[in-house]
Amino acid sequence: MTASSAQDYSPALRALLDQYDVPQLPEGFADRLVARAEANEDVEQAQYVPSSARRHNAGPWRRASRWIGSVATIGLMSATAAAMGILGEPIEVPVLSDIARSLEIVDVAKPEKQPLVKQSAPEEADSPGVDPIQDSAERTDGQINAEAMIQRITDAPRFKTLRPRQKAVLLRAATRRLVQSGKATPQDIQAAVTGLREERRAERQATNRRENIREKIRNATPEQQDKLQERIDSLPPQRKAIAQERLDKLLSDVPPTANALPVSEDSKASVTEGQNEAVPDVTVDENLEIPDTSADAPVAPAPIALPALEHARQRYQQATPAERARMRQRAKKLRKTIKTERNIRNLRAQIRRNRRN
Amino acid sequence: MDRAKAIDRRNDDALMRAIGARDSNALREIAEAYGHIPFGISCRMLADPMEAEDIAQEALLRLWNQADRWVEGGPGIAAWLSRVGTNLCIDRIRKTRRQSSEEVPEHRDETPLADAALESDNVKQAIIDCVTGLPERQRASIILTYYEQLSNQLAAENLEMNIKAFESMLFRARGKLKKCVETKGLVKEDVGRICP
Repeated sequence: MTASSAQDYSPALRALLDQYDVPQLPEGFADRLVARAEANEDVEQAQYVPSSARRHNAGPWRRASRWIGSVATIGLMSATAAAMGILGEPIEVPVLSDIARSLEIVDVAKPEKQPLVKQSAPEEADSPGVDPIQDSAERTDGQINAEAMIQRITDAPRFKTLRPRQKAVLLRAATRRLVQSGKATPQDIQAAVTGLREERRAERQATNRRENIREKIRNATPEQQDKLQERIDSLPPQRKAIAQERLDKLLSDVPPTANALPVSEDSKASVTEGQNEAVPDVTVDENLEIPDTSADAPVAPAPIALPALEHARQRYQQATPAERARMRQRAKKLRKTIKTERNIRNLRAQIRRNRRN
Repeated sequence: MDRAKAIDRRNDDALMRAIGARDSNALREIAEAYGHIPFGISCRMLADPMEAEDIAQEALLRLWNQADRWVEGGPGIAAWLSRVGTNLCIDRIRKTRRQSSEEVPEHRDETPLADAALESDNVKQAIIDCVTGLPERQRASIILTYYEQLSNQLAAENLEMNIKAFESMLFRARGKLKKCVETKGLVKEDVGRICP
């Protein structure tokens, strides 16, 4: 076999390759073909496409692009499923969630954008005469009842002498009673607590501001005082009288708490620490058994801090950590002993009753 | 091949028109004139005359079914059949490889060709082993350029390849083939006997 391309082969190799001959077309090949064509047997509507890409071994770029495409497709599908709530609660996904909302597939409100810079407290909270609760939505009866109850308890002088944990226990018991009486729901109480906290924070801020102004006026130089007096004198008569009154009030020793709730020393201290101990956290546990008392019943007397107890507390506060640990151990033992004694006493009483019977 | 050459392109177009009109005699004429092209390619590619006949029939049936798409003045029926036959063979080899759970054997079929007269010829069997031992595209490049005497350009077009890539592949195929026959000791010992 000779051909132009065959020149690339050595004569020896050509001689070998020429050995690989093929037989003639089998007998009846054309007949079988025609019969098959006429019978339309096994004839597929095959199309002569210039050989498809699958015949080629995919190159590295094509393989890489297939991988990337697959991963991107799967990621997009997952994100879409998550945004549409197929995988549970709809998740906010940029663009996709907007599309889902526009197609009314999900019914989730668009979350508000978080400001980049933390906004300062609203001006209303700074003004002393404004009650934040008044500005909020209309309060329910339950909320009003809860607020009244919390205020009544927290304003009691005895309450202010209690420790934060005791305050929380007391308030929790009171709220449970209120919930059981049906005068307020846990939501009402939560809203009331939040409202009161806001209110008291505003009061504390106002108090602090007044204190600062008073300090500035007291420490002002005579020249500054004269200037201030001049400015007051230059005001119209009505405004002048009001300004003078305020100045006198600020300079007087009595703290101007006309429209502020009484603030205890403890709560003042908590202000400096930036905490909200005046209204401790109140969580309503409805499963607990509580005595059948009405919400209007007087609040149960808080455990009074006895002098001995107060003394022990002071000792505890001044003690070193090691001493504190010892003290805690001792207190634990003491509590256990008391409980055991009580149990023994009950047992004895039981035995006595049994003997009598 | 000589008969195929005798049929010029105008005759090709006329035959295809007849096939388009569902003239089975025209199909018979094409089968007799060109049937050996897909048969020869597939016979050498698959080393199995039965499979080769199946491939040849398949290629001709495609021609029968797609006659209405025939573009007159094209490269002709022979080129079309060699192209389709080659691709059908490659598909068949890959399909067989995929379906086989065992490791792909080095040689597709250890049995020699059906011709009983050649069965005992060890030299022929060795060269068959060497050709069928090549990867399918390299095997096709050798068969198209050496046995079918296609130019590199036409063979590259048949395999849908760039000419440079094809020549590179052909070079590798030739190298492997040479190495194979040397390994089998055919070049040194048998060439003298085979060559006149």
